[in-house]
Amino acid sequence: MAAGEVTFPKVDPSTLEPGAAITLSGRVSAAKPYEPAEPDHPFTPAQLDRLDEALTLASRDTGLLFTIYLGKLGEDSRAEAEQLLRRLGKDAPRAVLIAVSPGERVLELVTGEVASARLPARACKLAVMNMVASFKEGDLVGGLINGLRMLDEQAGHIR
Amino acid sequence: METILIFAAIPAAICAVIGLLTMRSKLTGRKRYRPGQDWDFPPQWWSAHPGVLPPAPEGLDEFDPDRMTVGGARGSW
Repeated sequence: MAAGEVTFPKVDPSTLEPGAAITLSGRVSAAKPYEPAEPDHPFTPAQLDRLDEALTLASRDTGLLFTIYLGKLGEDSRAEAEQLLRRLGKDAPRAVLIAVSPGERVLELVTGEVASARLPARACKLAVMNMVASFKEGDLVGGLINGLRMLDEQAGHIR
Repeated sequence: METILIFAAIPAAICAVIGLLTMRSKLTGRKRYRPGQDWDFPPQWWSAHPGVLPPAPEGLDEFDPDRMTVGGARGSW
């Protein structure tokens, strides 16, 4: 073998996957079918943009950390949502979590201790009713944005 | 022949165009959520960019995230 020559381990042609071949140099060349990545959500970029704007405005105005969770919440959805809020760590007391499980048709709004003082139960219930009305029509993004706006207005500006 | 073209072919063409326009969102759009449908997307958790949040107010550290009382509301549809 000459110095600098590239070597490849011997490959048995019968063990090759479909689309693979051994080239003259001994290297295995394989063709793979292209599989487009599955989207993580059914929203358009424009919808995500509106959602991001609503989150930004609400957080900046009120000084509360607004977050949205979309996904399975399980049997005890309330406990799961509270657990998620507590996981935010030192920001948890001033956080507001809107947890939506479209598969189970459940919406949980959880507010930390500091956020609770700014958002009384009545305001939370109103926002939840508003969001649920939109979710019933299948409008997830519209409902979330309306809910964020209502909570933003109820909590008021940070001094 | 001309009569058939004017009174049948043109209206049929207009109907087809309008039909295609209404189907457009169904043919090209992503599948959208409808109530009662399964949700098999991975969980998402969004928040605003942390930079937009004003600095933490004084006394925020006094609260223990694991033991603080939480409020809120719930709903289903």
